[in-house]
Amino acid sequence: MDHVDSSSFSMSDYERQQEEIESETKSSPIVGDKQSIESLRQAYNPDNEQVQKKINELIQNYSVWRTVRGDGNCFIRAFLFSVCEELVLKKDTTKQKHFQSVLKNSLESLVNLGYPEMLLDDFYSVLDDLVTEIGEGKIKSVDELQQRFVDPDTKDAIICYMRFLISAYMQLNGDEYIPYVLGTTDHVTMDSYCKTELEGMYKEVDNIIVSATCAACGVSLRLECVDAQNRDSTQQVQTITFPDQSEPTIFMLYRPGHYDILYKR
Amino acid sequence: MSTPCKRRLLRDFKKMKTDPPQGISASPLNDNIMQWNAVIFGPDETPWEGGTFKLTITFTEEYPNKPPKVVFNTKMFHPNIYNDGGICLDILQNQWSPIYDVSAILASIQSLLTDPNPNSPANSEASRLYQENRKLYEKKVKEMVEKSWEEEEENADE
Repeated sequence: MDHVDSSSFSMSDYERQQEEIESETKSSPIVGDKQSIESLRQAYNPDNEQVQKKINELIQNYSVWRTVRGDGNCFIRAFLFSVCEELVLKKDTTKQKHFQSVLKNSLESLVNLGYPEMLLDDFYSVLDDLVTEIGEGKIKSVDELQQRFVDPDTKDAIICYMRFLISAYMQLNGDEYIPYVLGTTDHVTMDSYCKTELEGMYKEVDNIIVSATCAACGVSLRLECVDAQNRDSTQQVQTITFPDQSEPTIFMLYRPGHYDILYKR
Repeated sequence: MSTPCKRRLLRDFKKMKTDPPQGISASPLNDNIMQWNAVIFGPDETPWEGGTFKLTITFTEEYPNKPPKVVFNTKMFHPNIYNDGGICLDILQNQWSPIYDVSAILASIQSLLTDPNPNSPANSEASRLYQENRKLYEKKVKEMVEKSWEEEEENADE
C-alpha cells in the first residue's frame, strides 16, 4: 500500500496555517469603505497588462468599489449589503416590503421543511429587525448601515439567515437546480447539497447558489469577472447577469473565489 | 464573550434542562459556560445498553457559526470514535450548521453509537469487526460498557 509520508506536515501544522489564514482574513474589514475604482489597480498585479486592460474597461462603467471580507461569506454579505443599501438610499417602500415578505415566507418554508423554528428565529429576527429599521427610517444613511453590518450582534446572524433563505428556495425549486447539482457536484439530492455546501457559515458559494440567491430575492445582479486569465483574444471583462437578460440593480466584481461591490458611474 | 454565543448557550442550557432527548444529559461547568459535561446512556436493546458514556463539549466564541469540539472521556470501541475520544461525525465537521444545538449534537452522537458509518473509520479494528465479525464486535462493545461502570465506581470512590 502506498502511504504518503505525512511526518513533515502534521495536523498541528495544518491548524497553525489555518489560524494564520484566519487572522490575516480578520484583519480586513467585514464591509469596507467606498474607494475610487482606480485603487483596484493595486489589488491586482500592476505588471499584468491583460488585467490592467480589463480594469481600464471597468473604469469606464464604474466609479467606486467597496471591499467585503474574503471569509467565504463574501458573496452573501456583498449581496445583502447591496440590497439593503438600495433600500436605504431609494427609500422605496414597495421594495422594502417585498424583501421583508421574502424573509417572512422563507421562514414559513423552512419550518414546513422541518427546520427548528426557535433556533432559526435567532437569525431571522436580527435580519427582519434590520430591514424593519430601514423601512422605518431608523437607519438613515449607508454609514449607519455599514455600522450594523459589522456589529457583533448582527454581522453573522444576517448572513446565516440568508444562507437558510437561499437553501429553502433551492429545495422548493429543486427541479430547476438538481440538474446542475448532479452535473457539477458529488451530491445526489438538493437536501444534501444545501446542507453541505450552503447552510454552514464561511462556505464559498458557486454559480448555482449565486443564481438562486438572485431568484429567491427577486434581485437582478451583474457580475464583472476580472481574473488574470486570458479567456480569448478579445481580452474583455466577462460579464454575467442573473437572471439572464435582466436589468441589473446591483453590481459586483468577481475575482476567482472572491466578490466585492461595484458602483456604476 | 460575544452576545450571540452567550445567548445561544443559555438557550441550549434551558432546553437541556426542560426538554432533554431521551438518555442524554448535559450541563455547563459551574464557572464556565463554554465548557460542558455530558452523559449519553447506551440505547436499550442494543449492545450499548446500560453504558454511561461521558463527554466533554468545548465551545468557542464562534459558536454557533462553528461547531464545538466534542470528545468522549469514557473509553469507547466504535468505528467512528478515535482512541483519544475524538468523534468522526459529519455534523461536527463539514456538515455543521448553526441550527444544531447541544441537544441535536448529542442526539446525533447517540444515534451514531448504534448506527456507525463504516466509510469513515476512526478506529480500524472496530470498523473491521463491525463489518466482518458482528458478534465479536458486539462482545467488545459490551466489554466496553462494563468498563464504563468500573470507571463510574472509581470516580465515585474518589
